[in-house]
Amino acid sequence: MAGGGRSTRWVAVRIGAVAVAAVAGFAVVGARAVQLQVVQSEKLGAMARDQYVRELDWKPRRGAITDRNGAVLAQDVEADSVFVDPEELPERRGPALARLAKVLSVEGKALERKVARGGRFAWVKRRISPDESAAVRALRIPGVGFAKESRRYYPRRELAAQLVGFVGDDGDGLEGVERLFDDALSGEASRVPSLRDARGVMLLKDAPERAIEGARVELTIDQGLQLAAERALSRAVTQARAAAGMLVALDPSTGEVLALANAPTFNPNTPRRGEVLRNRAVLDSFEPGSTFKVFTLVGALDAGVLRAGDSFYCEKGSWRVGQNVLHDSHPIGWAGPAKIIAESSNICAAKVGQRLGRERLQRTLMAFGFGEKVGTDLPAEPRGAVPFPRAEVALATMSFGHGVTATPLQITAGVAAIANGGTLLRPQLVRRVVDPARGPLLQAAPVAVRRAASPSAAAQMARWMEGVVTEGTGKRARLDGWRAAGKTGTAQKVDPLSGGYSADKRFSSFVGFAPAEEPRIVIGVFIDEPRGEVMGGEVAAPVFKEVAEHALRSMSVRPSGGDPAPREPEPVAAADETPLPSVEQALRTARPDRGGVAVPVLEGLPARAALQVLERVELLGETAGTGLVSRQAPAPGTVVEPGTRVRLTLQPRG
Amino acid sequence: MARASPADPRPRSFDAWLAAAVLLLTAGGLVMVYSASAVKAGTELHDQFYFLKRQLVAAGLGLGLLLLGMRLGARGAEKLAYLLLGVTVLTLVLVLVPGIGRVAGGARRWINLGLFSFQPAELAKVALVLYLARSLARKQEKMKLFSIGLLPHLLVTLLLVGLCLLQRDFGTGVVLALVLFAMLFAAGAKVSYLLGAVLLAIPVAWRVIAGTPYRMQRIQAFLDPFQHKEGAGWQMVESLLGIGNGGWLGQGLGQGKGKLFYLPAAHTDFIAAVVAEEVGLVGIALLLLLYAIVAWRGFRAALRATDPFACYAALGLTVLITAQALINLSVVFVLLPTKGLTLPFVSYGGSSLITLLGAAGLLLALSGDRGGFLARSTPSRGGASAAGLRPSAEGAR
Repeated sequence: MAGGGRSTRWVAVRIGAVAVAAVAGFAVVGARAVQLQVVQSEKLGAMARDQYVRELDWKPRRGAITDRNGAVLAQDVEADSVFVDPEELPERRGPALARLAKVLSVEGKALERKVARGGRFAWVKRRISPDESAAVRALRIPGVGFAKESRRYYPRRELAAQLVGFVGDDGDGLEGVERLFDDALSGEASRVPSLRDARGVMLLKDAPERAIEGARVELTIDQGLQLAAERALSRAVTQARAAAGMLVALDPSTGEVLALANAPTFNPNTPRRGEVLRNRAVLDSFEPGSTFKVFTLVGALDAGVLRAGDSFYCEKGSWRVGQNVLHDSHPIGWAGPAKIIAESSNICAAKVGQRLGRERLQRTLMAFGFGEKVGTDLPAEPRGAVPFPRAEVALATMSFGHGVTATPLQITAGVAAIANGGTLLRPQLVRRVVDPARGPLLQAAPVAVRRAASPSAAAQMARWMEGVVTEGTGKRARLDGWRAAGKTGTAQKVDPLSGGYSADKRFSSFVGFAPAEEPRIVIGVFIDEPRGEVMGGEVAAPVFKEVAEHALRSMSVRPSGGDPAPREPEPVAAADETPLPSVEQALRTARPDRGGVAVPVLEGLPARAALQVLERVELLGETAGTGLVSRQAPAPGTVVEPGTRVRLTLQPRG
Repeated sequence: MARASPADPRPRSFDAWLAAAVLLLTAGGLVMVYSASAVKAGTELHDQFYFLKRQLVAAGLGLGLLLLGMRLGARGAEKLAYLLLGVTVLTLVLVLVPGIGRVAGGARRWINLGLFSFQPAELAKVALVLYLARSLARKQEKMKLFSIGLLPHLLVTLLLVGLCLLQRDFGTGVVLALVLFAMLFAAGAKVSYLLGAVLLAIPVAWRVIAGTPYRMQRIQAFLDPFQHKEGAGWQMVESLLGIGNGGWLGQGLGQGKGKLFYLPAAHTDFIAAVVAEEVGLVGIALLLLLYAIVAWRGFRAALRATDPFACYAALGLTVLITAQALINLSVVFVLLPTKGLTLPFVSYGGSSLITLLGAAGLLLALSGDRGGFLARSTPSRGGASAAGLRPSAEGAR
């Protein structure tokens, strides 16, 4: 019994010893946990994060470029890019690759070489069309895969191509506004921490905080007017078999460029190289010719050396200045300033220039913005040359626009200063740049560069310029329904080989504005090297007429008094007693806002006009009944996505 | 003398501490198994609840077995001891027969029972404890003798360990050996014999390790895991990164990254790394506390047992659970080379959870018995020693 007692006591002691060992075990494991999770936590945690967390460059979708009303000119769309994994390709890869190459119209040999290079990835073709994508999918070749990439798409193709520009393969803006606002359009790439699992799959935990789309650039151009301008210009260039044509349309009260056309043009969806990409209306300077007489005479008016009643002898078309002889294309005898402008006499313009003097002529031209950059910020924008006219003949020729150079945009902006009463406004190409997250980055406001002429001189010149259209060299610019004013120009071009003036190369232009009494639009039309008929009044003025009439009609500008009614009278409004709201008024109520459109006020409009307004702001209309719009849903002012359907309830008038 | 009569007058009580600790471990295990396996299950088996569902079924069966174990009590368990040992040896041999044994992860350890696979090695642990308890209780006075006190137990254990090693289950072998030594030691085997056995075992263990390339690689990787990051050290490195990343409070339940295919066996052997990463040091401390409670109640039950069998069985089961938990945690914390042992009650694994819950039921039954064999024979000193031991066990929290 005693032995049993002893042994059992020892059992208790030994169990205690085992328990102590367990305690030691717990202590060691606990201490290790503290060591790993407290002492080394930072180091190990950093290594862990190194492994799990990968910073992803989250590149926002490139912002859209729109016209002043929100019509999209450039936007990003998703496109498939095709790649192959050579290891997954079928055993006999030759025929499969040949079929693939054929569907995608890529070179079969080049594709084989790419695949033979080894590795597990090779691009076949990037950013393919949906049709191509469907065709490749139909082939069902194992090892052929697709990746989504964004592609720049220009839905209106050639429209304002040189102004909008285009992007390169990697999405960087290469030309035009795409290049000028590349940073804003691209937006800021945000680095998004994302999880990577051990198989390499990325798991995006948080949506990026920043905008997923770059800023939207809203141009000042109106795509409707732009289209009309491009069509008219292109037709004129073709008819005159000219090398090129340029057109600038400005709002004389704001300096906003409403249309900026170049011919020939290109489709930015399939980029090409060469001269055709050049925005010549902004970037090329020419010797302007007779359009500059306007500035010479305005300068003389303001200098007090010219009065409306003055008379000059125009030498019957031939006048020797030093060793040179000046000629007029329409020889005349005695002429007042109105006739000098209307008949475009070089000789008399030179005589006015002599009265003005070298310094004041140069100063006048510079006051109108020549010899300095317009300030569009487009790369390589030229100043143009306004040299000091040292020689007698230089003073004479500069008076009628030779020996100086200017861009079409500069010339049109100068005439706009006449149209608005003497203030030179900075031409603007961009209205707004709006970042979806941060709001407007840029909001253009009219910028008055300087007073270039007194209001009275500008008004006087405007009246003289109206004479050009009514009875002078620019009769073909006469508008149906509105009074127009303008000035023709037909400059000899410098022959690059001889260095002298070329016998047959001309730079023909017409710059004018309308309605003459209260100008709403200034349009400069420039035809480079027309063949056959070369006079500006013949090749350029008709383009002015066509574009100006389109602009005034679409702006619903009231016809000038005394003139015949516009060709297209408003169909239903004519009979009505109370004036109906105009299309233009309705459009003004639809201010595009951050990519959305405010539903315009349509009440009281005839159905056709209402639908026209909706179409202009990219909304869809749906009518019920006949007559005038009595109700609309959504309510006016509601900001909706473009393409939203607006229901219009119509009621018969009265 | 040592056998208490079946009609013991002392009232039985219910050990709420032990029950609570075991149930909390099991419940926490279910949560962690889901968290650790959902991604893997969802990706590979297209059912993120795949492992959770199976573990839930196992927990249900295990709880049934736990209640059965409580009903069985010391008497029933003692009668079952040899039967269980026989079944264990039989199934351990059956596993080795191709066609019956199922291979997973390079190890042939499972017997396919249709809906479930059964892992006999898990049963072996409980079977050995019951066999040793019964055998030691009978040989009390002769424990000092080599041929009676040591040899038979050593041979039976060696047989089981050997069968485990044939299934490439080194971890279970180690636990079985530890259980044997703890029980022999407590039952009064000569320390010199035990030391001798250890000395003899070292070269054998070395042969076993050095003879199998994968075990050797594990040892080398264990010595410098970051050096072997791309190979055998991968699991250890990922475990360490996850644990370190957890810090004090962890990344948040479900927020661990190791389970994103970085950490192999995240829901089984290395589930503690997921706990450490997601619930932090707080979670690990809670885990250790729960095991410490199990250990404390287990040792207490051994000290207050009514008879030698109950005493040794309680001790054996306690050592079994505690040692396995500590070894598993040591492996996860890279204090020991990788073995292949589950974290008791927590890791995914039906056989392990079911047998351990059964064992816990038995321990609960033993813990419910009040005083007897040790206290009765040495009323004053035994009581003092037991009382003196308690705080140390408690101190292990």
